[in-house]
Amino acid sequence: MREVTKEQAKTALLRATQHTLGEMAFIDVIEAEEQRDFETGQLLFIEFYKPVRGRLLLALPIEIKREIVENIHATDWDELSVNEIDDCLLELLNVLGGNFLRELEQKDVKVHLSFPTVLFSLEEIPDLDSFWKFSFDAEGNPFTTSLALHEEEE
Amino acid sequence: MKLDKIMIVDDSATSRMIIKRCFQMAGYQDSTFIEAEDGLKALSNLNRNAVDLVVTDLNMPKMDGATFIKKLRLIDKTKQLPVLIVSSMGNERLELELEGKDVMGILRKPMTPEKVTNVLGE
Amino acid sequence: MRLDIGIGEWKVSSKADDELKTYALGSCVAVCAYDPNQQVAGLIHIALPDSKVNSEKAKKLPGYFADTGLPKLFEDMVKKGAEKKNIKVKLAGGSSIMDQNRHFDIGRRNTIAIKRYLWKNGFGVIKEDTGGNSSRTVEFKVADGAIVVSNAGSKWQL
Repeated sequence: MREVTKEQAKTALLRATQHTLGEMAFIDVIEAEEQRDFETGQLLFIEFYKPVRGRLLLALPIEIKREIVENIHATDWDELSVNEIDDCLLELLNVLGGNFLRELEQKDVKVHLSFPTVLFSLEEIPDLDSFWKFSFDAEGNPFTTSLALHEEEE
Repeated sequence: MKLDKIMIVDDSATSRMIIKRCFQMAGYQDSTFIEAEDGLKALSNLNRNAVDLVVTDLNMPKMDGATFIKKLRLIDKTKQLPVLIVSSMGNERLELELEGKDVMGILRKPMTPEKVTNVLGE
Repeated sequence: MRLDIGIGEWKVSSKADDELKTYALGSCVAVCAYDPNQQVAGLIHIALPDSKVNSEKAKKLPGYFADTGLPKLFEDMVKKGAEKKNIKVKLAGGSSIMDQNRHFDIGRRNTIAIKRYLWKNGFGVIKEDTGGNSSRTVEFKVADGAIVVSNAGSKWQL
């Protein structure tokens, strides 16, 4: 596998996040100037196998989770079922995953992604220390994306 | 292009809602939309209903989009049916794989009304 | 007749020989809305995404902000006979210019805020020419909804 530097991964992830959240949820994303603590309202996780192997974790505070879902559905939070909310966030992560791999390769590539899942606790990922963590800002609200890239299996 | 009935095939209800709204906003506000959550359900529905366009995702459980399109092309009724792919994994190689199966286009998610206009005109 | 539209203004017309025109957009965005069935056209020249930064200004000049200007534009179009479900929207402008603190891109944030309002209210952007670095001028014909965008060097159809 070609070596992907942390800087390359960050750039690809930022661009993919800007594109996906901008076009799909109508929220502008920039790189955070400083890392700010926030209470996680939602953890989303996806694995990818092609063109590189890796895992992507999205941690959102409740404010962003709510805004994403309300914007995409064009309706109020109270009008939506738990299923609709989960499905909406998972679809967002699915699109983000595809766009990230394309940004990483800088061209159209064949991608293979797992179905995205909702995590209930970070403890579900035992090797969290091996992830790169990037802090972003969604129009004033902080959130993070964490990424682990793995060696290709022989 | 006149489209009275449009079928949307995607396992995500959110994605089906987004695609439907994009078509409505791009000028297909009077079309009827039929939804299916995988290729298998779409095929059985197409057996009963005739549509003017199928919009399908690729990565779906039970029957994925590529298999679904191949099956469509084996059935007389749907052999010529226009198909548009909307996926998070659109790419050139895929386009080659699906060549000859009469796919109108491959649109990358996130879907927007502008992408509908780009393929079907204003 | 040519109707010129300044920053924070909007105009709506249903007269076939009218043309709506706005100049030097920069990070501002021109939202061009059109009902082809009723031949009603509206153009607003938006400067900022959110009226929360200056609510006094929003009272005097609601068209300056996306959230206060867009409802006015569509309200006036419906008054002139446009049907909401038939209105199509095109965007031009939103050049990449950083805010005073060099923190975020105002043009991009304008474009996103406009799309957010439109999506939530059932309007779709069917064409856009946004971003980049040029200063755009927009001419919008009421008769057929044709839009011509130009900058210092060239002209193109949107």
